[in-house]
Amino acid sequence: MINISSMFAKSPFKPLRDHMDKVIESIAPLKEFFEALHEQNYTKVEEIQQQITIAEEAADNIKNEVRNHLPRNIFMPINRRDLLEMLDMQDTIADVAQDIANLLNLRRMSLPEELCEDVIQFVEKAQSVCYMAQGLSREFGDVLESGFGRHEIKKLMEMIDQVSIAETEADDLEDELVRKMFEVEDKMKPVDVIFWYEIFEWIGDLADYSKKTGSRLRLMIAHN
Amino acid sequence: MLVEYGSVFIILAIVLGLYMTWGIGANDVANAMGTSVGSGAITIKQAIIIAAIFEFAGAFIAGGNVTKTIRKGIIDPTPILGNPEILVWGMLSALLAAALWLTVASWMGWPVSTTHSIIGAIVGFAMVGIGMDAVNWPKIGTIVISWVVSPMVGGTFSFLIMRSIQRFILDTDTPFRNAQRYAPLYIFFVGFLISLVTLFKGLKHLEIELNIPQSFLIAVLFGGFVAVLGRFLIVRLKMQEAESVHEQFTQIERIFGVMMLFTACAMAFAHGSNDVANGIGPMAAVVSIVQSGGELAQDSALPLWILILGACGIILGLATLGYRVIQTIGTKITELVPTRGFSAELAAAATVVIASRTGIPVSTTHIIVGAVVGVGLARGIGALDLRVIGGIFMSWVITLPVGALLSIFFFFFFRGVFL
Repeated sequence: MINISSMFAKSPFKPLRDHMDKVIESIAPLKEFFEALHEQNYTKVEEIQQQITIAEEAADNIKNEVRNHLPRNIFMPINRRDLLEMLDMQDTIADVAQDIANLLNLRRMSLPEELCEDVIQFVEKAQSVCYMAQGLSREFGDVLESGFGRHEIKKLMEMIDQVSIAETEADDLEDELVRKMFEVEDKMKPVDVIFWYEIFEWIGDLADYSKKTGSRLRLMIAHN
Repeated sequence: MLVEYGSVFIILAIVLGLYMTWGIGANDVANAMGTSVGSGAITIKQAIIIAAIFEFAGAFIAGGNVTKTIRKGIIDPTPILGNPEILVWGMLSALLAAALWLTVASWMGWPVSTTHSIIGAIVGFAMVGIGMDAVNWPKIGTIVISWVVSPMVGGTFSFLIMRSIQRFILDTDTPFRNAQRYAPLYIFFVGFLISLVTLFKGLKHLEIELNIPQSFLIAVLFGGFVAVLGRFLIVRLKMQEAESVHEQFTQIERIFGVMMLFTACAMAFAHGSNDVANGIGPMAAVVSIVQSGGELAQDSALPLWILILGACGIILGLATLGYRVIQTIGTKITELVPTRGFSAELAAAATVVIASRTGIPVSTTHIIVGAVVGVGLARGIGALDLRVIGGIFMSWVITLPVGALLSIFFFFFFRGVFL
């Protein structure tokens, strides 16, 4: 007897959302991380770094799980490759968060007083772009439920546009921050400047990969 | 021969027929009910009650046509008019072969179909026991074509139903309100379609003859009745329109959960009307030959008690083993939410009922698979494993010859015993 339950493969969409939730867990403590760094509370810095690593690993596990359960002959309402690429973009956000926390835990640089406020602000902005990307994966659930109805797709497309706009704003903040740093660079250790520049790039990457998650999602919906 | 062993043949036919229908109830019904249970629309207990009532009703009210085909549509007994016992042995072998093969296959978890087993078995013994010409090949051709066509028809129906739900309910500005507005219409459609197809010249054995306008009128009345009932059940949910569309989607699924009560009934009805024949068709053939004293060509009506016996067999299978299979399947099909399950079930039930109305024995399971794929094509399901389609082809390639070979073996066995 054909058991009809055998034709239902595990849907990748719930894990895709779970994955994004884990990614968000990895970026959520970043603001606190920078504050701890500023206060030179290195036990807390290390604590948060651990926390981020755990979330990143959890995200990795979900990612691998999705990949393993997505053989080529599975029939989905979207393109398989688009889905895997979106998953990769989401995962990169967690990777970057981990890189930031790792580097700053290994090379404990104190935040220059002049930049402190701007850095925190920039981190918050990058985080908010990530949260918007998380909102996308929620709304995508409604698109699926509606059977890719035009109403829900339009809503999602608008949200994706907003992520892009927010990412540009984050970029502007980054430029401003870098400019400010260069103004005070003489007061800083030269190697610190190089590293901080790198860190700022990475914080910007958080927003950038959130935006890329959105554009993959756009492709995923537009295909077919 | 027939006089001497008459009661032995009848008892054998009843036992094997019950065995076969028991197997259908134990395994096959689960596929028909699994989608309802999996989507959370009904509980296991409700599924069993619905299945028991509507499988019986389907078998009793609409099971006659397919039974007639299996009983006397496949074989032309003209060459053996003088040896009616050949047909008796043959039908007994076919039953035994199909039932045994189904037992082995479901024990091993192989994908086989009850319909295909019995058809393969009947063709098998007829080719060897009577001769190649005895098989009504054009009829077999029609049946085999229907095995390809019926899942496609089911898929097309479910695709269109799913699309209409998207178009009129899900993809609108006010999905919740539209769901409330159109739900009774969909329920009407379920009741109307199933009753119309059933009534349409289909109640001869119950001595009810309706003309076309009468059938239409009753179908409309019945559809209207279930629509009102459905409307009542939906109102009883006491839901207020939620603010966000996201929550409205959840509400809509609850509405469709109620609507799936009706498609679950329709599905059980359809399954009963088609699949009971696999067990009682050969049994009826044996009984009629023995009771008429070896008359093969006569056009005797199907005795009502055989239909009832078959229906009871299905319920027995359901009660002893079927509920466990339903449970297993139900827990695995959680991806199929009620809007999707409704589309698939309505499409499958309609296709099966139409097929059994024309007397063509189709595979209920294959049609359900087709209907689910149709929903998937309407971008309604997260992920489908299409290897099952491969399993269906395997079931054709394996089941027909195995059923045939087994029944040939049993045919010679019976001939050896009774000759």
